Amino acid sequence: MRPDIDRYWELKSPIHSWDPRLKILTLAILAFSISSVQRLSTALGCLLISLVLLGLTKIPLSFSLKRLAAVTMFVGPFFIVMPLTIKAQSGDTIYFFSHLTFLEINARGLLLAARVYCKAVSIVLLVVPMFGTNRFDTSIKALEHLKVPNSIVQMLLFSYRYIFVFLAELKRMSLAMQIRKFSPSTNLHTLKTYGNFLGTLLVRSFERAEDVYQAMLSRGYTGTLKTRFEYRMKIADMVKSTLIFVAVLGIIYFDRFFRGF
Amino acid sequence: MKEKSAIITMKNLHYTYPDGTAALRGIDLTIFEGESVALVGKNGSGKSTLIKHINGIYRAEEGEIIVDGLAVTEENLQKIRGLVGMVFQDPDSQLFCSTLYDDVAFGPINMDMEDSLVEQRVKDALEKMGLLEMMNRPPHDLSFGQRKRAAMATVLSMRPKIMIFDEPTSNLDPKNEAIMTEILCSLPVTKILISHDLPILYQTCQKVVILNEGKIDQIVSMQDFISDLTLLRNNGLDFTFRCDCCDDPKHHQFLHENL
Repeated sequence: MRPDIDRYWELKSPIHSWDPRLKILTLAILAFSISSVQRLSTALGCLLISLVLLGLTKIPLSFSLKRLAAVTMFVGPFFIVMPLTIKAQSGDTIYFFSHLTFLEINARGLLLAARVYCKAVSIVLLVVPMFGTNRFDTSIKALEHLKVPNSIVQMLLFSYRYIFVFLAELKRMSLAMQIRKFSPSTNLHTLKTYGNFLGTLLVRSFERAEDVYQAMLSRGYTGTLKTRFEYRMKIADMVKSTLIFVAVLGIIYFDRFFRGF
Repeated sequence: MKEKSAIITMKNLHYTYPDGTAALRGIDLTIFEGESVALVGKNGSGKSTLIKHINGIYRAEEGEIIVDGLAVTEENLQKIRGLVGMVFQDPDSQLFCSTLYDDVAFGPINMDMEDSLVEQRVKDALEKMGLLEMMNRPPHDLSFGQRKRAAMATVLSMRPKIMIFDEPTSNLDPKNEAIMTEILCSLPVTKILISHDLPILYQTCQKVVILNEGKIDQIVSMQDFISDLTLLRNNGLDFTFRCDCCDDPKHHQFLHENL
């Protein structure tokens, strides 16, 4: 498995051609406005906006849907927990099972879980147009232009670069365990083995970090990553951002002030 | 006849690791401009520690190093790092940017070169290494042999006067090894090589510095070094399986003549 979010950066689309700085800033604002949504109907609208943006990127839907699996794993249990645990208020619809009277299912809990899920999915889907439509380093360097501290930018870049190396390391170590007939089970030996596995990975990561740092020092690194990227903002970029800002205002208005449905 | 000038001078160099291991114990060494020097010794003899002092990655706790007339001190570090290029054993340590171009440009950018000059240096280095067409690819997409050459390009683009190579041919297949050897031989700079690959050392170096437990044991010519099988074996080197026949003096002679 390769964790390359920017696999489709070479496609041509209105989202791909958007200036990375404006794109990240605008979509981040959109993501924040989605997170503040209080109504399910608005959350569904946000989901629609995310899907439209995703469609515009021309990136295969399957690529984005894979990312939803992780969200579902975390947010999915809300559909079970919230209807059972939310405090009942007057006007709530409560369902009972005939034989399990101690189980109260609050319909408001279900709607709340649906709202949280819609918001989470909308935001996760936005990550693809935000970071999947430029080379990852271009996006990260755009963050630097947006005044994100250089140390954070460097950390992000190196994390991304070395994910591949650590995955390869992980694979090698896992193979080394398998060829010595290791099969995990629920016993102390398995726990010890996994403990050693993680410990070794940590030590190797530390050694790798030290080696990389020395290699950087030997090529004149003094603590700041110097880059020479040129970003050019065009009218079209501003128009795209303006459209999204209009959508953000629409979301806020509909969510807070519109009482139609 | 014009005398060669010393480009690296080490005087009474000592270094101890934080865990108390004495890695270098009084190194005195002079390397002259244009020389190609093999640094050999058993594992743990202090070879890698020594080369990291030349570039100022490690700082001597006693003694001094002069590189091209500059003492390795805090104020000279940036100049020295422009003079001394280091190619590490593991190319993944050296290639940390998102594209090959960025990696090769990293050094020249740190040297505050003009954009056009950076581009020219990068393209020249990549062309020399046969990787120009791959400049926009991420380094992790390259093969190991290509990554080894890419690591060398990252240093070549800085045009250093001294190049240090730590096991430049380790884990390479014979074809890539031959390419690397050819490149090493063609570099018109002062070279220091650490390797356990005797044929490579033989083809690239004229002088051999033998380290043993953090001290210089001997400095000999390459001819004298490979003629002495005991000396080779005492220092963790040998003619490998590629030429096991070397125990036979007749074949040994043949190798001397044809290697």
